[in-house]
Amino acid sequence: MKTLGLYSDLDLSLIPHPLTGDLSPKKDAEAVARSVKHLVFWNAFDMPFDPTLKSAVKTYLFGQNNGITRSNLETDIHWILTTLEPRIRLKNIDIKEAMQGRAFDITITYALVSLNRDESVNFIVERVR
Amino acid sequence: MQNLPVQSLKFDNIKENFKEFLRGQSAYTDYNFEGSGVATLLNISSYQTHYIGYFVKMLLDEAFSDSAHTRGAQLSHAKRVGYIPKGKRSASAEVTLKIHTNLADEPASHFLEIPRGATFVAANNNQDQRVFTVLDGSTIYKREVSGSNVTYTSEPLAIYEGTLETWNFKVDSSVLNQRFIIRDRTIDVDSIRVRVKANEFSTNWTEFTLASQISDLDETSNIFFVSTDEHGYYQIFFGNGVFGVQPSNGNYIETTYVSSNGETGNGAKVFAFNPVGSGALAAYSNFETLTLSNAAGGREEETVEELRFAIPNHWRRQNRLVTEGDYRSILLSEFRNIDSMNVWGGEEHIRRDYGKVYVSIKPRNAERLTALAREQIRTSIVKKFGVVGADVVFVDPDFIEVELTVNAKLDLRKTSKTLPEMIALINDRVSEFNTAQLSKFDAILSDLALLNTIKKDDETFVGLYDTKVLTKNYLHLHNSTSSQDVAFGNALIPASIKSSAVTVAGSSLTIKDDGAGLLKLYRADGTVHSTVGSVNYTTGTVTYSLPSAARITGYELSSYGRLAFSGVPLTPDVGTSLNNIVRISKVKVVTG
Repeated sequence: MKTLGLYSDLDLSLIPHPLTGDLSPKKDAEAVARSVKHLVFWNAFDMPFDPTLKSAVKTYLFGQNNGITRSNLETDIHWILTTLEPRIRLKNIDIKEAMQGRAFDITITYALVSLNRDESVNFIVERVR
Repeated sequence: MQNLPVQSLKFDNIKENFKEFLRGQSAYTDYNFEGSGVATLLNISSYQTHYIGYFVKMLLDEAFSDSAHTRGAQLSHAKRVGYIPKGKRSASAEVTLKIHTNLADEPASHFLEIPRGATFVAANNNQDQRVFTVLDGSTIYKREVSGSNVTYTSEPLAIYEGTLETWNFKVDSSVLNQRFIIRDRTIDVDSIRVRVKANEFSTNWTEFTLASQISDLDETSNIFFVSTDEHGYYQIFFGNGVFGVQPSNGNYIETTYVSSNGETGNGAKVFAFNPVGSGALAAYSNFETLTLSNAAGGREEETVEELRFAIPNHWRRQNRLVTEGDYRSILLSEFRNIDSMNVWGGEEHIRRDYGKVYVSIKPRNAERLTALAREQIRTSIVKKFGVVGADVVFVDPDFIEVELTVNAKLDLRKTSKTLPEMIALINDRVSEFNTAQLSKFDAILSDLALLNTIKKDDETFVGLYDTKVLTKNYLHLHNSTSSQDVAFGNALIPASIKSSAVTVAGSSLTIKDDGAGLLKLYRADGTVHSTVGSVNYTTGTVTYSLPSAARITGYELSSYGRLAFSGVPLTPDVGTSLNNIVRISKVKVVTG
């Protein structure tokens, strides 16, 4: 799909372009998807002087993986995305148990407000210790 | 970088400035969205900028006494100007100790030693028991024999709240820059006594004294210095062999001091001698302690804010007494028992007295300084810091007693209080004004402030005014015919001045002014006996000279008498000057 260049963001993986050697910016839907994923993993104090801006996904990972926990996580994700990501309109957050209770399978579906299309991101969050 | 201004050290402002800067480029446009990678980098950069800015500001703040926040930094500034920060200070009191015994038990030498460390016990303001210690030993020579009984009476003793503590050090030259730190927060620095002996087993001590300046020291001066270490503990150090004796390897140093409870020692009034640990006095049991002055002057260690005030002041006065400000500064910091103080040059005195410095001190819990307190100030403060040729004259505070009549018109419909309750309220408010605003030097009785204090936005008062009569008591020496000045320090209304009764050749007379500037002795029938002086109504100075046969009524058998002059002030406000302190002594409330 052709990018419009409405949104452009720095790729924090900092991998240079194999031909030019420059860092390639992430654009449009890809940039927004990065941002959404980033916000889900946001810890308290990632925003200096404002520890209230956080998603507690890491805390929930080490709790019981049941319906109540997943519902709480969904509330947190909903709150942080509606608070800090004005480029999207949230449509659905689907969280499933994965890896026999050691992980969450998270799918976030949203509409890109300025680009007038729906997108979704999916990722699995697993505790490793 | 024009659009990257330096305006603030706040994180939010710095980040906003970065965003403003990024608006000028198009490669990365997501800086406004907190989840973006660019925003994350902005957070890191802004936080780093804020952190460095804050660090530099704190560093500079701590570099100056004016702005330093930490006690450690203030202590360092104090050291630079030679100021010894004050830790806890013991309350001090003055007592006289009497020891009653009989001829068979008294020592053959006919004197008794009160050793250093002898103690008295007393209760403070909160009735907590406190121990008071004799810091410098004294010998009692005054002995009175009555039949087979003997009473030994000490000179006035200065005693200090707290117990005597000792820290010992051994000089070890193998330690580089050995420091003798007394790790005790309760130490009263003024009480430190240091003595040195050759080694641990030696019995001969050499007393070392605290050096306040270096100019008059040589290699034989037995002195020590005090400063604070980085944690605020006092450390002592000695001369370097050029300025003061340097103790040698193996020498044994004993430091003794009073461990104080600070301000909780204040207010003790009744002292009882404790013979335990008092050397030979422990053999006696009948002690009597007379209190000459109550315990006062105990205080907590200086706070950072007090240090901020004291350090530049210490530097300004340069460790010497020259200006009025020097006297104020040194006496307030060195002498414990000052409630209020005034200092003026002889050229400003009521009778000009060039080359002298007049000091008037009102101690806490008393009206006048004791003789011992004066002597302490003279020897330990004025002699130490004073310049050659300056003569200090102590003048007792002189009180202008105000007899106040408050005329209040009250509308009792506007209050739930009864008339006697309103009168009591007025008395309370006058008393509150007297305590808070008056009874100290340089405090004037402002009529407006007094009436405002009485009224306090109370709608019950429909009308309010007052009248005042000033009274001054003068200690008149009988048989003296020299002229005396009684200074009211306020303009007086002519024909309002009169005195207490004076007896001449059996008849009772009163001194009054005639309204034209002359003071005359009047008989009871209103006839004039004689002219005895004059009045300067503008300055409020009464100058009188009584005949040698005159006696102050009520003091006929004494060598002196208290003569009271009263007068009505011309203005509603009552001012003070020199050693005058104005205070309200009587209140009469008239309601209508």
